Amino acid sequence: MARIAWIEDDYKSISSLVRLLEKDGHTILPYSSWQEVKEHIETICACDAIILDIILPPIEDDPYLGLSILALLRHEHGYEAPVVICSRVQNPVVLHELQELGVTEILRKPTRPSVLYEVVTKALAESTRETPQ
Amino acid sequence: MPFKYYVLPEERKQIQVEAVKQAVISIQGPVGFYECWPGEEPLLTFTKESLAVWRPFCKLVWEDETRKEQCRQDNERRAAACTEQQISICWLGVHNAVCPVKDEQRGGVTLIGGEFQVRERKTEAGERLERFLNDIPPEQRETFREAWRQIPEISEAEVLGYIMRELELAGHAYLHALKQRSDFRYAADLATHDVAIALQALIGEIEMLKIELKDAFDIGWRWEGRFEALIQMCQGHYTYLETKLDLGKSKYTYESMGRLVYECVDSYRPKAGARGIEFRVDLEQEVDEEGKRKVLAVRVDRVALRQALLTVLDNAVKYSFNGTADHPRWIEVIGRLETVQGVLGYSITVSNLGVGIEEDERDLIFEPGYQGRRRLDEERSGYGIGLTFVKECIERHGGNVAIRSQPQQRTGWLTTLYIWLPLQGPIVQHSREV
Repeated sequence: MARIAWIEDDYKSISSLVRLLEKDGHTILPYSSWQEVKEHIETICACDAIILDIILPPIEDDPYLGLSILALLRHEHGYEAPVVICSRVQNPVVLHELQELGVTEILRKPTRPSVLYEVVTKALAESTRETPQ
Repeated sequence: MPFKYYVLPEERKQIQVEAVKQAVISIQGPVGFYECWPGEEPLLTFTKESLAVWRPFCKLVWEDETRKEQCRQDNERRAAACTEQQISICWLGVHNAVCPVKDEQRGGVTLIGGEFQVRERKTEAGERLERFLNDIPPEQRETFREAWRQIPEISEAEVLGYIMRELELAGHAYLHALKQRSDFRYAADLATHDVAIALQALIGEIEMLKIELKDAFDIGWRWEGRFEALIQMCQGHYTYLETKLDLGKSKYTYESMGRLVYECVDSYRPKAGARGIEFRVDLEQEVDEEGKRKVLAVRVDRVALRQALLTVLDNAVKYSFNGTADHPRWIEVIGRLETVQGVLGYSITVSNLGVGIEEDERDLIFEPGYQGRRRLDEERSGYGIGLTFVKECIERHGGNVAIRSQPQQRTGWLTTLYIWLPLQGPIVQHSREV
């Protein structure tokens, strides 16, 4: 079973979104702020996948903090596993940058638990096939 | 562990409901609940009875700010007058644990699902209940046991009915967040975010309920359909949020009112026709330089105004009486050039005959969450945010909206919604009575 980091500031309110993944035996590790991400960056990088919100409580007026986190993970920590975006973000520039950073899928909120489950499960399966043990 | 709080007498029924709710959670089964108030005979509350009074209380709490403060003060005063023993035999902590008054920070958004277990585990429930009885005076235990034995099994449908009311409560939480947004109590972006989160949570919880109940009970397709409808309603509200309520992002262009009005009316013809209702559209036109007749263009945010017109038409259809193929009911849509305080504009009136609005509700009807008394009585209620959006949208255009509803002899109420828009788009506001 996979370990999945969930970077989402409102994860307590919308915990139902990941319940199907939990039922499937996956471990969800939630992080709600830049501070938490920084503190647990090693743990996050060791995860099999990341579900990432883009609009997080801003640091230094960065309205798309999730994008900065993704860039950090990809460029400075070499994180290559699947990243699924789950966000309300609509800014086309941001969406383009997310694609440039190789996100697996961009799910627009509001989404359903079943949709997130399907996307993450598929991403994990493909990731496993690409990196045989 | 009981808390030291007290409540207003009229809130008791809600306490009973909450007590049952908490019992369902803690005992993991459908139960009635014992309660004993200081100086009064013990009561036993049944789930089914309690459900009947769920909604009025919600409205009371969500809508009346002064009542909240009164409630708090009364709690403190009466709690101080109670002995610990008296308090210990009241199930008062239940109320305060979920009371929206207490959790102002998050607007009292207590969402459904998660810990809520729906299982017919009466044996286990009975065992847990015995443990609970240890906390109440011995002389009252037998009364409760006897009542417990008489508690009927609650059918799957009733349990599901209970959950639907839970959803209704969540809907009230949504409205509360919406009202806060409308009142500009905090930044619009933040409020939008909060409402969006509440909706995302609802969608997630509803789908999980659907999945989990299907696993547990193999619920029928009708229930699956109802859950699906709820999800779609939430998604509809999300659309409201992003395309209708975020009017600050408006883009104004000159649009043909004729095209816009007919487009909206045509989209409602099938729904109206199914109930024997037809549209009469009469739009004032002008003759252009080439001699062609056309309806004037008005500078509007097309997306927002279209949604507003659709909302108005939806209301007109929803609250019209049914007609027949031979004797259809009519909804009249009239467009006229009209000058208000020296500004040339275009007015649209939509009239229908059906369920009316009382005189003293003419302004209230535009408040978020408010639904006309007659409309509620007719069980044609929605969420009460449609006209709120219409008003906000039209006023953002620099226009006005008003409503008039008058009883007709033996034929219901004639309700007319009036919209006036300045031809040049958002400018200073003008007032006008219907």
